[in-house]
Amino acid sequence: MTVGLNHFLVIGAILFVLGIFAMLSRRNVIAVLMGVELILNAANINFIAFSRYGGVNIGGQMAAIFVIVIAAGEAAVALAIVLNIYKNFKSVNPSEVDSLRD
Amino acid sequence: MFDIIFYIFGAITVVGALTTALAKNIVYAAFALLFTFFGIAGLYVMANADFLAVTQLLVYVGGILILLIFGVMLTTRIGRVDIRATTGSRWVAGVLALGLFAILMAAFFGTAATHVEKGADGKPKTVSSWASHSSLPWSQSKWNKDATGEALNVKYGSPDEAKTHEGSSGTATEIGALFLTDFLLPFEVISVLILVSLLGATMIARTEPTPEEEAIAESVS
Repeated sequence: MTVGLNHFLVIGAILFVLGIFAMLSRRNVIAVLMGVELILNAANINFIAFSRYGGVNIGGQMAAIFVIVIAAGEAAVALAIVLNIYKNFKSVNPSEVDSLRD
Repeated sequence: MFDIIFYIFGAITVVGALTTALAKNIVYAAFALLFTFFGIAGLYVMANADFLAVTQLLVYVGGILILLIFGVMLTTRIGRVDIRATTGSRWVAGVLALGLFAILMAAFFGTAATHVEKGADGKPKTVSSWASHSSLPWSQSKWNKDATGEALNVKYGSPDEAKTHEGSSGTATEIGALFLTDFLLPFEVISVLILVSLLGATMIARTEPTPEEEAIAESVS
């Protein structure tokens, strides 16, 4: 079976599902962020797959570039928030971070 | 050959993602993410998206992954036992993820993209691919054409023969031209967005100076 659209889509789906799993089951905010990165990459793989096999062409790659830029901004802001959470709660477990002020 | 390399990159990507999602040690998860990003860059190259592959390496491996590892190092106390996910939430998350995967698979393999039309004698006649549906909205889109109005999938060949297109100068030229023409407004908006988010990140992460530090700063000035 030659490699086609579905092969890319399946890899994207695997990454997406693993990202969802990491987001739901992890007990460390940084690991949850890694799950978010996996999900963004899964979306990017789909964009690229459709740009190559789906007739979307260069438009799909443009969308993927915007996703990458937004992922960079998200990572910076999220890391800043996580460092503040750690400073205030001395923990990065999302279940323990449950008050808006001390 | 194409298929073998695809499967190698795919395996690197999937194994890295599995380790990222399942490893108990968060540092292992971070380094597995490195392999995932490398594998994805390889997949981009396989799909003729060379500029995207380089961007992926620069931004994800060079930037985001370093940020994540900084986060791990700054928030993990050395010698502390990692808190693992409780079994209950792991089960729920696993069931949800598997269900989602099943739905996605059903959608992928149940749609027209892989539909094989049967001829009158019951033998497979034509394999319809996405690109051959000229009625699909995106095949009519303006981004399917280059500056001279030539349809790009004609220029680059249809997806089935794109595998062998040689002598093309890559996608960087096309993307650069599109950024300054059709995508100028989104480009400017996202530039402002990333500027604001980086400024905001430094503002949030900045530590307030303690009274003693303020006194020292005043005495110096």
